[in-house]
Order: sequence, then C-alpha cells, then structure tokens
Amino acid sequence: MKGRALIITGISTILFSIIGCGSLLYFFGTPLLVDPSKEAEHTLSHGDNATLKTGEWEIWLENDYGDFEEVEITLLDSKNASANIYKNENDKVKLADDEYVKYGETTIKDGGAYHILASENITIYITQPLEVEHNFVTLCNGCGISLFLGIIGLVLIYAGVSKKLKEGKKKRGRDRFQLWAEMIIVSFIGLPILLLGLAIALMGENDGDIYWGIGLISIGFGIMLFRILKARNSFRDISKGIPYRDERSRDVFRKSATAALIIYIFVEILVSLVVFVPFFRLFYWSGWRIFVILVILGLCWLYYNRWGDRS
Amino acid sequence: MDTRIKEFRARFNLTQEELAIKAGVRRETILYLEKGKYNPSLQLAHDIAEIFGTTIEEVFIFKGKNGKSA
Repeated sequence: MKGRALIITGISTILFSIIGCGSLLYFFGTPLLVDPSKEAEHTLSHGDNATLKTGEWEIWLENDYGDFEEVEITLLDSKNASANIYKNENDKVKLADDEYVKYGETTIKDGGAYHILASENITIYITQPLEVEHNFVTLCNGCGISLFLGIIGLVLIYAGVSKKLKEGKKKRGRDRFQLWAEMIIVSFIGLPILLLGLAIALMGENDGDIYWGIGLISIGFGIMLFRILKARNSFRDISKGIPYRDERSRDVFRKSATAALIIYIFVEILVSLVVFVPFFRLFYWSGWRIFVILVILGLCWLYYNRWGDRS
Repeated sequence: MDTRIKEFRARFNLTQEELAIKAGVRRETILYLEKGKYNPSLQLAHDIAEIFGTTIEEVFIFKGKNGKSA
C-alpha cells in the first residue's frame, strides 16, 4: 500500500472513531427524560442508574432469563436502605411474582426518590419520568473502542508518512518524524502519570497518599526528562547524518518485544492462578496490565541492548 | 567474533561518529561492533570493509564454535 493510501485510511479511521465516540456521548451520555403521560420503555445496561422521582408510578421489569436476584432497588430517602426486588424486603415496593416479568406500584412522597441500579441488562416499562444515567464504565468501554480506532488511525498515518518520506528518499525528514512521533507517545505515558501523581498528592485523603503522589510525579517526570534528553542527542545525530534507526536498534527492539510478549504470557498465567487467593482483586490487576507490559518491555530492551547481542 | 575496526579506524584517522555516518548506522552500533558484542549483517560487514578498502575477512575475524579463528 502506498504512503498516501495509508494516510487517507488513517485519517478516515480517526474521523470514524470521533463520530463513534461523539454518538455514544450524545445518545447515552446525558440523562434521558420521557413523557410522564406515556408508558415508556427503557433498556438499562449493566451498571446503569435510573432514578424515580416523586409521584405515583407503576413499573414492569423484564430481563432475558426471568431471574431478578441481582436487580436491586435502592431507596434513597430512607437512609440508603436497599431492597431486593426478588425478595421484596422493602414494604413500599409491591411486586407481582411472575416468571419473566416483575410488576410493582407505589407512591413516592415529596422529595423522595427510588434509585434503580441495573446489575444486569434489563428492560423497564414505566408510567413515570425516568432519569437514566448510563454506566460510566460502559460508556468508557465504548469510548475506549473509539480510542483504539483512533490509535490505529494514528499508526496508519505514521506508517503512511514514514513510507512517503522513504519513497522520496528524505531520510533525515523521516527520522525526525519518527522521533517526534515517539516523543508524543512517551508524553502520552509520562504526562498522565505525572498529572495523576499531582492529583493524588493534592487531593488524597489518606496520609500515605502524598508519598504515592510524589512517587508517581517522580516516575512521570523521570520518563519525560529521560526522553527529552535522549531526543536532544538524537536530533543532533540526525542533523549530522546519523540515522535514528539502524539494523542493530531494530534488531534489539524486535528481540525485546518478542521476549516481553512471552514473559507477559507467563505473568498472565501466574496471575490467573493467584486470582483464587482470597482478597486478591482481579480488578486492580486489569488496571495495572498496561503498566506491567511497559515495564517488562523496558527491562527486555535494557537487557538486549546491553547483553543480548553477544553471540 | 573479533573485529579490527578500531585498528582500521586509527589507520584511516576516523572517529566512531565519522565511521557511523559513512556506514549509515548509529554510533552505538560501531561501539558494540568494536567490543565484539554485536554480529553485523553481511550487508553492514561489506559496507564497513568497503569503507576501509579491504575485504570482510580482514576486518572481521570469525571464530568457530571452539573459539579458534575460522
């Protein structure tokens, strides 16, 4: 594929991801208000919140399996007491016990509100205005797909511009472009770490948060500083005619990426075994994955750059 | 693998950086080649030998599995 075709494909992918992300936020990012006089149908995804406000209301709930054990109604005006629909512990909520549909009716006094947290995907038919706040994580997942597409678009543009510069035999221009692209990627890693550390240090509630914050600030600052200093030397080398990438650096990166992938697979297997240990939160691990991959890749690169070529 | 790059560099009065520019590689690559820590591709070995106006065998000393020069 020619450089120009890659660039056009990359720009199209980015535009598509922006439209997708915008649509998600437009349709699901704001609370939905329905006409109170009409019965309305809502589909709630896992983690969505719906609020029922003052007034009389009737509600029907449906899900795919007729199993409501996980669906909860939380009464906000009663010390946040929660009532499980299936068990019907809250005397204010009367629900018919049907196999596939749950039906309830009640009156909410002034200032009161019922809060529905969807623990699974459910469909609600209701005769009252329902404010739905869609699960932020679900939204983020959607936006994450858009972000992923955006990154693919950027990679395609990068490959396209590199190829175009190569086609034109503008070696120095290509090297400078690659260096700038790398600096942007590193700043995407370093800056969030630095800002996260700053946020934790300033807004942390626990005494230990300040140390976490300072630690993260140091890591983020260190990454940025290291890259800037290295880039300064690289720019100087490029202007002298020394290539930014050569056969050795490409070889080192290829070897370290291969080794990092294999090591990471073993780490994943190990973690999947450790998950069975009580109190180990898989959730935390999933958040650390990308960091672990980067650390392994960095260590592998250090090893192969220093000792790996000896044969 | 041993190399005589350092010796040839001195003979041709070239710095590592100058050789790197001529060979189209990074300075670190020349450094690791001189230390014998990197096995170059045949193309790079040929390019370096050509810069010094000699053959690959003159610049790079290949050792067999038992450590003896091949």
